[in-house]
Amino acid sequence: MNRREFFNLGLAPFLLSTSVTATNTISAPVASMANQPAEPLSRLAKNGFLPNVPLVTHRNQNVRFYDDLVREKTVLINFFLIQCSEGRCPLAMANLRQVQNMLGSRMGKDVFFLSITLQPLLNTPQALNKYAEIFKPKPGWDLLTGKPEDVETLRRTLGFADADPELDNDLQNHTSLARYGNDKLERWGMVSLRSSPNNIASTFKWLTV
Amino acid sequence: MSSYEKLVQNTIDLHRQITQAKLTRRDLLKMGMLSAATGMLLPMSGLSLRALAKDDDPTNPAICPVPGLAPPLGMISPPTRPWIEEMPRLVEKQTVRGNHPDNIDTGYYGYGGAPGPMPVGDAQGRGGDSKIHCLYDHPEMASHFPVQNMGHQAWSANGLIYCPPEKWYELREKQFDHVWHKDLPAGSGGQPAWGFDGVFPGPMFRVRYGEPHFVRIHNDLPTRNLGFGINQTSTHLHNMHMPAESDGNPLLPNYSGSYWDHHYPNVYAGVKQFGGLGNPNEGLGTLFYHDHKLDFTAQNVYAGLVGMTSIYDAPGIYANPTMGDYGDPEEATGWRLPCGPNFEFDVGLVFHDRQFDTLGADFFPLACFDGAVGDKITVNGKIQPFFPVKRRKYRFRMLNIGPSRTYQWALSNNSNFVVIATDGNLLPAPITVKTFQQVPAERFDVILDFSKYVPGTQIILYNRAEQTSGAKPTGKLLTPGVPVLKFIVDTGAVVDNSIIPSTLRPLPDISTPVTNNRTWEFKRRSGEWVVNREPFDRNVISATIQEGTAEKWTIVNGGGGWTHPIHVHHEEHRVLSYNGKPVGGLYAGRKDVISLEKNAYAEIYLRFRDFKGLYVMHCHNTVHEDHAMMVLWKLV
Repeated sequence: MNRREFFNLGLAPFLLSTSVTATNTISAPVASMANQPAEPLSRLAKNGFLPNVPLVTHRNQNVRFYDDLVREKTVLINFFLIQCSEGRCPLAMANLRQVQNMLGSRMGKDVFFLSITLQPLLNTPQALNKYAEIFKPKPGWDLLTGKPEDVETLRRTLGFADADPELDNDLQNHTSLARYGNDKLERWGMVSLRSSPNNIASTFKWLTV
Repeated sequence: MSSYEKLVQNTIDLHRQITQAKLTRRDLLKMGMLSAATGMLLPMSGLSLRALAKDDDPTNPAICPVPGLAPPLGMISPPTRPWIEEMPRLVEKQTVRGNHPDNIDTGYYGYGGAPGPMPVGDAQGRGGDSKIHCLYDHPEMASHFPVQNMGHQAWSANGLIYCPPEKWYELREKQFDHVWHKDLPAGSGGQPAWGFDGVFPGPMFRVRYGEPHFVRIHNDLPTRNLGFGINQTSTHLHNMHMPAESDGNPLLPNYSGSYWDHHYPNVYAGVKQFGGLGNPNEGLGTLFYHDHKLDFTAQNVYAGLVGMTSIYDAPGIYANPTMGDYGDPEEATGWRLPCGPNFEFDVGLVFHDRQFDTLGADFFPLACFDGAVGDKITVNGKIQPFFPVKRRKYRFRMLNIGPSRTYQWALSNNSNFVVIATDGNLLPAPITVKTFQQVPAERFDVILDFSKYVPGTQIILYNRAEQTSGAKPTGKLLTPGVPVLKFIVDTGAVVDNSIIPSTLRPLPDISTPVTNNRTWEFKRRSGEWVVNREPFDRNVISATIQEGTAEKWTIVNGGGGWTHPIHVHHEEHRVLSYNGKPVGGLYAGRKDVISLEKNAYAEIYLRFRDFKGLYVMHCHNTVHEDHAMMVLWKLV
C-alpha cells in the first residue's frame, strides 16, 4: 500500500469526525514547525525532542532553538533563575564560566552553552545582558529568553519539568542538571552543574570521540 | 471474536497500514491522527487502544506521567498478541577456539595484541587496548588510575593473589536487528538493537571457581546510535569479587574499534584471610554483566548491552563432599540442583520492560530522569512469550534488568516458588513463597516443579505490582496482574535426578569487628538525584577504605516518596537491620542490592577484601544512576 492508497481507504474522514479527547494542554510549536526544513537531520529533532522555537539571546539576536543553536552542534542546555534563593544557579553559572575557559578554542566552535531563563517575562534580553556581565560569557555561550509559551515548551520537552505538579509550580524547585548532547551523533546525557568545572568539562571530551 | 479482540485486530491492522504506507509524522499530523504536542497517536477509537482501556485494566500499565514529551503522555505501544512466540533460551557462551589465547583477536589496529597481565600499546603509549587509549585521551583520570596500576592485579606471579586465566573468551558488542514481537510493525525483520555477540540478552557464561577466566570485549558498535545510547562502553560483571580494573568502572570507557580485557580470578571472597581459593561460604552463583558507561548506563542497557553469568563451585576441593553446585548434568553430585544435559533445566530469565512509539519503533524516554518504564514486559527479549516445560523440576535464574520497574511475582495457579538463592547467592536453606518482590538488578533463583501437572497444563507468571512512573511502584497490587510468561507442560515422562536440598550454603560469619561507620543518604534534592547532598563528580572519592577491614554502612532514603535499589560494587553485604528491625527470609542472606522503600533506612555490614582500586556505589534504577546518584570509593 502506498500513501495515496492509504488516504483513499477513507480512514481519514472517519478519524477526523471521531471525537478527540486529547488530555495534553501544552501549546504546540506549530508556527515554528512551519518554518522548519523538510527533513531536520537528527531523529530527535524530527520527533519533536528539540523544538525549533524562536528565542532571543542576551546579545539581542533573534534565533531558532534547533536550527541556529543545536543543529549539528555539541551543546549544554540549562535553565536558570536569576533570583535563585538557594544559590544553586549562581554556582552553576560560575562553574560554566570556568568550563568555557577549560574548553578553550572549542568554545563557540563545536561546543555551545545554552542557558535559558525560567522567567522569560521578567528577563528581557537587556536584563540578561546585564546579568551576563557577572559571568562574562564568551562567544558560544548564550543566555536566552523568549515568549513564555516557547520557553515552557522547551522546558517540558527537554525534560526539565517535575512530575509532581505542585513541585513543578514552585519556581525555586528547579534542577541544576544540565542536558548535554551532540545533535549530529544523537548522544544525550545529563550532568550536574553543581559538580566541579573539571567534571563538567570532561563530559565534552567523551561526547565527540 | 469478541468486540475487544476485534478492536485489537483492527488496531494491529491500522498500525501495519500506517507503517506500510510509510506515513511520516507530518502526514499523521495533517490527518489529525497525531497530537502535535505529544507526537503520539490521539486516543481515538480505532487508532489507539488507550481510547477504551480503563485505568485499572492490568493489560494496560500506564507509563511515566511527566508532562510534555518525556515521554509522550499516554504513549502506548502497538498491540501485540500474547503467547505467540516461544521464549528463547540464553545462548551458551563458548571459549575461543581450542580455549587458547593465541586464538584471541588482537583488534583492528593490529597492535595491542596478545592477552597478558599488563596493558600494552604502541610507542606513543596508545594501543588497541582501551586502558591506554582511555588514559591517553583523559589524562585527568590518571590520578585515579595510574597507568602502572592498570595491570591485572591477580595475574602477576609476584602478586599476593596469582590466578592466571584458564578459560579464554571474547565478546563482541555490536548492532543487530532484534524482533521484540512479530506483531510489531517492524515485523519479522526486527529493529536495530545493540548486544553482546549480537544477541539480546547476551550469552550465558558458565564459569567455575578455581578456573579464572579472561574476557576480551571488542567494541564493534557503530558511531550512529539508536536515537539513544553511546558507542563507548564499560562492561561491569554485577557482584563479581574482582579487581577494580576488571570491574567495568563507569569512568573507563572502551572505545568503538578498541577492546578491553577483563580478568576474573574466580576466587571466593576472603582469599587473603583463608588462603587457597578463599571462603567457599562466600560463593556467588547468578551474576549478570551489563554496560556501565558514565551517564549512559540506562540508555546502553536499554539498547541491549546485558547478559548473564553463572559461576559454579570448584569440584572436589572441599572436605565436605556434599558441598558444591557443579551444574552437574547427571544431577547426582553436589547439591543436585536442577541442571540436566546442556543446562536444559537451568534457565536464565531476563525481565525487561520496554516502550514502543506510535509506529512501533523502540522508544527510550531520554528526557525523563525519574526513570523509565515501558508498557511491554519482555522475557529473554520477547514480549509475553510461552515456554514449553517438561514434567520435572527447573531452576530459573530470574533477573530484573530494569531500568526502573519493580515486579511482584505470582503464579496463576497460586503454586509456590522455592527460592534457593537471592542475588545469586544460595541461601542456608530453600524458602518457599507464593509471591515475592524483585527490584531492578536483583536476582532470584527459584525451583518450579512441573511434575505434578497433567500434560497441557498452562501456568502463567504474573506481575502484580502496578507501576506508572519510573520513580517507584504505586503500591497497588493488581489481581491477577499483568501476564508475563506462560509455561506449557509437555507430554511424556522425563528423568529428574535433581532434588530440592533441605540445606544449602551456610552463611559466613560476620565477626570481623567494624572499624568504621558511614552514612549514605540517597535523595531527590531540588530536582536532582544526590548521595549525601552531592551529585556525582568524577574527581571526588567519597570513601577511602582499608583493605581487610569491615564497615557498617547506614543507607538512608532521604524521602520524597521515591524508592531506590542501592548497589555497592565488589563487595556484597548483609542487612543488619531495616528501619531498625532485623530482617528475615529472603533478605537475611548475602545481598548486593538493597531496596530502600520510601523513607526507609538500613544498616548493612560489608567487608572489603582481597583487591584494590576504585569502585562505585549507586542507585540501580539506572536512570537515577545516570543522573548523578552515584559515588566513587577506593579500596587501598
